[in-house]
Amino acid sequence: MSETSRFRSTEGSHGALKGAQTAWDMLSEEQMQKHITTGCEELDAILGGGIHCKEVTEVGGVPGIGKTQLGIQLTVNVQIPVECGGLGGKAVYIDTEGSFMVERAHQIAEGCISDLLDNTAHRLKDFPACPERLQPNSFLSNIFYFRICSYTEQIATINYLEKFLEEQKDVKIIVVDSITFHFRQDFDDLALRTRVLSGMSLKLMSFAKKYSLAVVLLNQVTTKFVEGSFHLTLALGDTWSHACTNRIILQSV
Amino acid sequence: MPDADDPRAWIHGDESAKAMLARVLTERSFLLLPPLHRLPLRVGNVVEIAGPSPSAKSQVLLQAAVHCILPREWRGIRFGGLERMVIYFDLDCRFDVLRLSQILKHRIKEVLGSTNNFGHGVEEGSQEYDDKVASMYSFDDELLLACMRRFLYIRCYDSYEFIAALKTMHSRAQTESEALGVGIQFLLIDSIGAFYWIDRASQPSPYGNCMRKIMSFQNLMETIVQEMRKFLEVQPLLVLASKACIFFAGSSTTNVQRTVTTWTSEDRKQWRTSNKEIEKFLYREYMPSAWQAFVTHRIHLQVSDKCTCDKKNGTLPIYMSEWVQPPLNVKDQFAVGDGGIFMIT
Amino acid sequence: MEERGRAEASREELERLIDGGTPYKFAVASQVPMPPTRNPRSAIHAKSPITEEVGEEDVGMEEVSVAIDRQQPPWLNGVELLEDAKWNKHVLPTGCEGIDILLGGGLREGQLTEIVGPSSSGKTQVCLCSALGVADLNLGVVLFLDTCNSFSSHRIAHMVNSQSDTLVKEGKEGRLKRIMSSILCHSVFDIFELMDVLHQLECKLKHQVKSSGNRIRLLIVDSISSLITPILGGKNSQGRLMMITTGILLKKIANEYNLSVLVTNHMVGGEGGSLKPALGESWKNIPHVRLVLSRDQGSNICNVSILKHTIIASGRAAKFVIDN
Repeated sequence: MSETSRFRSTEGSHGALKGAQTAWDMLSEEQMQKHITTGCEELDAILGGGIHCKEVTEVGGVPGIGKTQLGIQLTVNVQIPVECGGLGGKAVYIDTEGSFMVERAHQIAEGCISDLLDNTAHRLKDFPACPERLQPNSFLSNIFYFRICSYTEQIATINYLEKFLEEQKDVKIIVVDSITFHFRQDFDDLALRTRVLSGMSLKLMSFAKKYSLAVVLLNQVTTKFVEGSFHLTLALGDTWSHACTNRIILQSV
Repeated sequence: MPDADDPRAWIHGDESAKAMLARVLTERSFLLLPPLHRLPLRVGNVVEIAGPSPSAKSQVLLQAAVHCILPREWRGIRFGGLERMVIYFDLDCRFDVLRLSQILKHRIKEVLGSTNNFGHGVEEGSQEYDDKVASMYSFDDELLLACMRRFLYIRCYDSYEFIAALKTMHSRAQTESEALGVGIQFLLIDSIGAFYWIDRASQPSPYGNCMRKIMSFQNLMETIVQEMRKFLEVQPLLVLASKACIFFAGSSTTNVQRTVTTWTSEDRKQWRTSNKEIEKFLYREYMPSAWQAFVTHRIHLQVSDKCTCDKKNGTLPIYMSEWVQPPLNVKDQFAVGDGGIFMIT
Repeated sequence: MEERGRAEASREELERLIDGGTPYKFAVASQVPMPPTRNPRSAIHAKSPITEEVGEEDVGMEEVSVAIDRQQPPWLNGVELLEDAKWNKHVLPTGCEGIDILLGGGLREGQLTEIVGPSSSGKTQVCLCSALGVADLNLGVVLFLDTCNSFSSHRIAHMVNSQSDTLVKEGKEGRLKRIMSSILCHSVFDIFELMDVLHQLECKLKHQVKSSGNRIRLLIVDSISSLITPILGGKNSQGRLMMITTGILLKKIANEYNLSVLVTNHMVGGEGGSLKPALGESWKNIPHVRLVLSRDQGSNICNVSILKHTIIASGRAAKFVIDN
């Protein structure tokens, strides 16, 4: 990080330290913070209103449960205009598995827009500019997509993201699908893997804090034998477990 | 100068061997400090106490310090200490003065309690008893302060401060010993390898125009050893230095089969090492040759799996000590209680 | 312990004095003239006030020793150490009863306490509790350095509100504001940034007015292991160097400015699948006190045991309750 670009939220920096904030100021800020809805009410309730900005959330589940769907939904939901209660921001989607499908994203965007138009029809009359923005194609154009084929590309992309985020000030969510895919197989040096992963998690957390955006990491699950029974836990458990603020596992009933 | 007329005077020595032995034994008497008591130590010896963390190395140093600062005799009661000053270099910055005073207080209470100085015929609860108890407590504090005055302490945050402290040690020690009237006997260093990683990695900095000596780790240690030798020539001391083991003994880089077990707070076996090869790697020498040549004795400490349990102290872990230089193939066991180290036979 | 007045420039001067080729003479107080040093004027005459009385040739060694004594930390004897421990190094309660009883009061000023535990074992909760405790008792300011976005002002507000039952004088809102304003939070995501913050803090503490209510009493770094793990290991030893330098700096700040430092560490897999604290062997010698936390799945009772302590024997354990 450059010397001059300390944290953006330096308002209320205490005399003690440049860039420090009192908890009181943070509390008032947090209360004004908007959440990104996942589209599912129960999930929103568990998350406390939706995905929080300035935090890293990890979502795990068995293959096929809908993690990618959730990821795409979030990249669409973040673009809900501010007038309709959303963040009106852009999204970054980092795809390591190749599971992002444009057609599906188009469908989800259409569904979201029609929901918006239905629910908030009366408000939109006051803002005639909205209908142009509320086109599926404009939604798609606000999702920045990165395709990654190896772990070195992943590290490089995350390092490059900082510059990208400086230029694109509107990005409000980063979705990584999935964060540990390239690190699970064929990684010989475990110590190196630990170092790389912890460095990556630090970087992502710093983006979340510095640019006030949400980071959502999609992860695979494994089973773990704990106290006589099998539990589902997120992959790379021990090394990765302390990296995130919130961790969710999706299970099918 | 023997007389020029008497050539025989040249041949006569200064003193006989018997006289010299007697003189040396009184000036440099043998010291037996638990748990280092297997080998009688004298001033002029340099003992290195090595061990992984935790292995009670600092406790051994504190035990030696207490032995040194206790008086031989105080108001008629015999304590058996050396009544000399101690210099303590705290390079780890982890010294806790409350622990030192705790050990001192225990030792004093032990001695006072064992010498039956209440006399016969004094009943508990009587005024005389209370007076004696009160006088004992004030006596405690006075004695404690007198002992603490003989403890000289300095804390250093890097090797340069250490060297600077060594250079000023002599003058300061002289003023203190003149003030107190006793000499110094022990020099304790905790721990000598504290700045290893920092010094090893520091680049020699060209300082302005001066032809500055390149201060690598080797050079720093050589300077330190040189300063200490200079001091020891003038004032012979027993040097005890603790050294941490910084290499992890165990297969950390190979692919360990991760069998998942639950971790419980009682499950402390995992902190121990047991294999012989692992031990050799654990105690691997990382100090430069200047320090290795300076050291005359070495002892290895380790914590064992067993615990000792008694009413007074509760459950305490048992530590093991083994002399490596000179090698004695005996492992002693000791534990650390509130009152310091006590041996377990 | 406070004002030593040691700045970078004077350290260079000190090094110059040491290195200046002055042969060390044992007879400090005697009339031995000192051979000319490289910069006799700047090093010596700048410092000493005793030039007039003492003769020219005596000035040398006296001034050198005065200059050196003033630069470095003073020698102390046991009595002075006891006085310092009694008057300056107080105990800060952690707010978790089990830990306080185990540690004999709480966190000691001047010491670096480390809490180790697997994830979600309550480490952050203990940190927040301690911050709350110190702020509530008006002991001073708490500085929370957050490396993993675990600081949540909501959680603290929740804990404050759930505690205030006996207060009559102060309103709920007022108490909340007072407590929350004494807790400062700063996010650091880089070890170099942490060193920077610590140096800034040191400078600020050096020039701070003593005995003001705004004194920093507790410094929490949660968690220090997530800053050090990315650089530790591998071929070069740069990581260990940074770790030890940070540890020494934390202990120095704790001791000289009488504050307590609390850091958290996570656990990694060790021999045979068990867990051991991260950061390796070299870190073990740095903290004064090491506590191990664990929590059974699904319960809110935490076990804490002592791994290392300056006074208490290791192995002592206690339990305490965490509210969620």
